Amino acid sequence: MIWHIIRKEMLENFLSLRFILSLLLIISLFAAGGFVFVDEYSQQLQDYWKKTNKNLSGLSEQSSQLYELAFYKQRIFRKTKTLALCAEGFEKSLPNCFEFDVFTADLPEIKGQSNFTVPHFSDIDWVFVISLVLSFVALVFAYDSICGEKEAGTLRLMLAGAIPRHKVLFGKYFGTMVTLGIPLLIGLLVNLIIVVSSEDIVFDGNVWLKIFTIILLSFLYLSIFVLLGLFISSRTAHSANCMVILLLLWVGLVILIPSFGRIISDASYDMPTQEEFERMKGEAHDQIDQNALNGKYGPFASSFNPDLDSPYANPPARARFDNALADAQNRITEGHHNQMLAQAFVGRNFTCISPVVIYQRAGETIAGTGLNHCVNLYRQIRQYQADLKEYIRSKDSEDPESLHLLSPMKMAVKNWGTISKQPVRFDSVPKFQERDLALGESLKLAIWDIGLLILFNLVFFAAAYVSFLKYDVR
Amino acid sequence: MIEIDELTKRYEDGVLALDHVSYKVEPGEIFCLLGANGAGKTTTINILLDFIPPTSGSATIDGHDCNKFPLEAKKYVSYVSENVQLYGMFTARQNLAFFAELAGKTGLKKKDYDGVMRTVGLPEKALRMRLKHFSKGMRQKLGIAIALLKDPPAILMDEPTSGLDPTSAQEFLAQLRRLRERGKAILMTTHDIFRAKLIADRVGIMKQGRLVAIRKKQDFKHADLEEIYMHEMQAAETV
Repeated sequence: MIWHIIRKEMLENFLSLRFILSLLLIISLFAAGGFVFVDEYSQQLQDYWKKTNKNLSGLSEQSSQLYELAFYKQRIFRKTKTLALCAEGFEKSLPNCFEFDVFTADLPEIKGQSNFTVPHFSDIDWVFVISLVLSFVALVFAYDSICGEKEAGTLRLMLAGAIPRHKVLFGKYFGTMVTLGIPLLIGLLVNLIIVVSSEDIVFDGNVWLKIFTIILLSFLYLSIFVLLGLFISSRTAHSANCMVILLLLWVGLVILIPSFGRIISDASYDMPTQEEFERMKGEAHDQIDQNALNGKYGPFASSFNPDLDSPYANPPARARFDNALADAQNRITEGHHNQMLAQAFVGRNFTCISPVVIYQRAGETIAGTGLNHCVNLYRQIRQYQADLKEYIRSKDSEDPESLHLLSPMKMAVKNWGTISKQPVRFDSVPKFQERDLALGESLKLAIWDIGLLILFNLVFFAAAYVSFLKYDVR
Repeated sequence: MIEIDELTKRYEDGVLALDHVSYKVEPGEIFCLLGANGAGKTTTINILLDFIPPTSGSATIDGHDCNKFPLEAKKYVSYVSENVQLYGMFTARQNLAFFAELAGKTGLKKKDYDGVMRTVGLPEKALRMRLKHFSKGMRQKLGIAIALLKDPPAILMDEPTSGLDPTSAQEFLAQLRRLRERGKAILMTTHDIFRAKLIADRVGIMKQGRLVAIRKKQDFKHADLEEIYMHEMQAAETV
């Protein structure tokens, strides 16, 4: 019986103008998104490899002397993910360059923004089309499912038969979902064909699995809007009223609440300015100078005499002093970076009452893009920095001429030989390679968001169910 | 077949729509409920279809309580509304197939659809026409066709002749006679005293929720039903 209602719903929708228009709109958007992505991705990939190769050739040159390797400022660039196709994650507004040597790391470079707060609209990726356009299309298909049939008089005729109401509701729900699924799947197929046809983009098994997961997530997300449509439709007597209410809710959930993220971020975090940041660093420097004067790091820690035999030259104390300075700078930079991240995350967390934000976040987590990508990349870079330092320490320990004092003062190395000046084989030098998360790991990270999407579904389903059971069909 | 027993309905706003109404409609009988707007005719149908619950009393179809076991009761009844509204973008055949499938009649063949169209007086070519191109008379006939495909022992009709032109109304009455001959119990609400006289085996006269009189065919066959109706209404006013 449910199947007959599903079939009727589908047929009724397929014969409607709204279906034809939606189909054309969705396919056009996905096709446009595919072409834009292929074009941008090729450029970004070329750019990425150019910069990465430059970094590697610099690393290769510096490997002629171990200490030069330690002082070499590497520039690691964020590689655009192929799955940015699905969820670009506002990456254009996020840091794309991380600069560091083994002692210090600079703040990640942010293009054109003073913080990490994300704008609301991104490229025409899947998440954009689905969260914004298809969510509205879902309401367009669902708004008159119940009250529209009441107005037409067909609901009365249908329920005059021996059909349980829950079966009618299930039939309408699945019928609308299948109707929505058709333009969605055709659009995705067109998009994937365009992307896969490009020479630069190759999907491996893990990527295909993630794509499949994002498609399932999309259905879970759209289901919320279908159920919301059914719920409001079963609370109203006139389809025009229903559409107006749904339009208000859609604007609230899809446009307004996500936009509040930025306002909440700005209001809840008072980020220090660049001057304040520099002042904090200066204060930390002064404090360490004071500590050195007080003999915390040993005698003559803050002074430097190029002559190692001078009684005023104390390389271990100087190394402790320099490392204390570097650690303090790193702590301030790290703290500032964490504050910027927290500012970005707090806005998103506050706006989690909107399914759009949850879906975007889950999509980005599965795709490995967005803020989480930056956080993950930053962690990997910090780990790489520690690994490289360990490699230098290990190679340094093999050189009997070195003082084995890993300190960030180049003059001390040059004059005192605190770090080995021996060459190292470039192929033995650790190189940074970003590791993509496997599907299982991504799912673990997205588990709360997926849970919230399921919860939204359950709440709206329960609301629609109870409401329709009580619906006055007269 | 259709039994109304002490049926009472008081709405939340205090309006008494039905006041201890009782009657039966037997197989092969057409029972017409007459009354002004607000008399309680449609409320009775709504209770029989479980669209609203009764305040007290019971309504049963083929022995099944419409409030306690509505799905069971509705297996034995078809409904034809005042203004049969079907899916305008569907063809007549698609509409027939959908409602027949909901009634559990699957696997119907072309000859079944052709047969039912002939029975209700619609041309077979109308099967391929979209409902939005149907006149009201054609839609009413198709409503009966849906009822016929389900083939239940009882049929509820709510003002079915309202708005029909005289020819369509005559054809409609001919249909009702055929259904009666097939043993269907038909409960029909109407304002149309003229046609009630032509078709009804019994008429029930309702006023402000009360069934003020039931008259058999022999009572009004040679009399003026309108006069009887007015008389009963005035008598009810006096009471």
